[in-house]
Amino acid sequence: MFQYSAIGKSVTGQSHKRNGKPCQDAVLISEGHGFLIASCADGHGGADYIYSDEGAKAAVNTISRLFLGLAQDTSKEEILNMLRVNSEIWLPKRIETEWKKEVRQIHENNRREVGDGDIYRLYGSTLLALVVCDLFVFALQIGDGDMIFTSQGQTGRLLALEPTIGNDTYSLCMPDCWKYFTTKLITDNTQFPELMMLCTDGYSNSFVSEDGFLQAAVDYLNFSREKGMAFISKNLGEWLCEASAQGSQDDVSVALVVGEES
Amino acid sequence: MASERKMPGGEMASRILDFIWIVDYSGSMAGEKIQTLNYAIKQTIPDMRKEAQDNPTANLQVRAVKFSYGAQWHIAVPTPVDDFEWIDLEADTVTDMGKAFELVAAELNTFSTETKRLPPVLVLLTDGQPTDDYKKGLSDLMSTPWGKKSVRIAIAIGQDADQSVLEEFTGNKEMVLEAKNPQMLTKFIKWASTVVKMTSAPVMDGMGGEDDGNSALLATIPVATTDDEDDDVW
Repeated sequence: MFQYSAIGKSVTGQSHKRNGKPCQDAVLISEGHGFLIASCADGHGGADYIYSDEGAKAAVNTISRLFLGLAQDTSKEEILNMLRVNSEIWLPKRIETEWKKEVRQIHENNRREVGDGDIYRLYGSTLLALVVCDLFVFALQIGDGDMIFTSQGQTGRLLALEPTIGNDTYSLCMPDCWKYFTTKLITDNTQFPELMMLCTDGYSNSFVSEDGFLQAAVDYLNFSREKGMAFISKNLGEWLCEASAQGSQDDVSVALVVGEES
Repeated sequence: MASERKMPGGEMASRILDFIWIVDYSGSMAGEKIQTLNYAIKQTIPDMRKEAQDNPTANLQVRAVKFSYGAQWHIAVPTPVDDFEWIDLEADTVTDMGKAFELVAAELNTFSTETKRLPPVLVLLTDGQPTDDYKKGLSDLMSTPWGKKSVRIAIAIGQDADQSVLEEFTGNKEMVLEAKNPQMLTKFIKWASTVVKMTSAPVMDGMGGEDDGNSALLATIPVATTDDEDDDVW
């Protein structure tokens, strides 16, 4: 049985640094009521998504707030049942509603123009999240980005790659975006991975090959076992900046969820 | 501060963006058309280099296919734009456009969808009508994942080019640009050569989103000015 801990980091991409633009990624680790929630989001950037950095922050806040709020007055067993029965509809619908509500609030608080009425597009973002407790591991994703695991010598994708190529991505800002979420629920605790990594595509796009990207999860696990999470925490920002510089030039966010035998 | 040890994971690099000129050098291109085309592509190289520098998320690699009697790679090796040099074409016989599509399709078929790439940019330049079975070549091209996903631009040189064929190639009427004279051809080639910025930006997915990724491109297509229109036609 694993006891999980997590760290996460977002860094501004080299191209954004050069152009004086903010980091449009967000990462958030939160804990409470026996749950650990790790999430990251990638604001689309560009002229059509001018507030997407705020959209990304709203995305990670939404999933964290939603689960911690739920856990306040609902037992883990009940939450597990809810996920078992209908995780592909009710949860994505809740996330869509909550994210859009938060974005509208941000928009109104800042007295921004409504324009053609589609304010959500201005905040367009992806979202990847892992919710972990002693009963289950739950993963969800909308849009590009990667969620991988390594455990007992096996390394692979926790959630399959979206069937898109190039730069296409699904987004929280789409109408009925709940339809485009992918989810995975693991309840057999012998199958809980030793390490799970979620990241925005600025990280995976920095690697020449899929194998090189998957190797990162193995290396992080080895670092955590040999040198501890503090070592990773100390170096992670520098590694991600270097990945952006050598690779994608994009903003890079990584969250690592690592289990220790308890 | 130097990192305390090697970076996690394997080798890193920016994503490849393939840019392929697909150029008609049939007999009807002889004279001013082929001269302007050669000149214009050469003139755009500094702009492409600047565009590449401004958009380091893409590793821009350029090459070219030529078609007349059959089709061949004119510049076969994917060439980093900093090293790219245009080799002048001379006009020759017929317009085997379909063969050019087949050649590009065969190449795109070698791309793995696992490889970190951006959608390729295919720019077709022609002044005439295909003399071969272009539909088969186009079908081959569009049946490849990266062909389907490519950004396709067609520049019709003069008024004899078959617009309907070019629309089939681009999949979008607005991505067919009609260059009525050398000035417009130069302008359109220059524009087409600098679409890197737009193709390397994220877009919502066409399957469920509102944007097929072309709207940003369409907004930047140069329009013919009065001066352009007044210039001599081919």
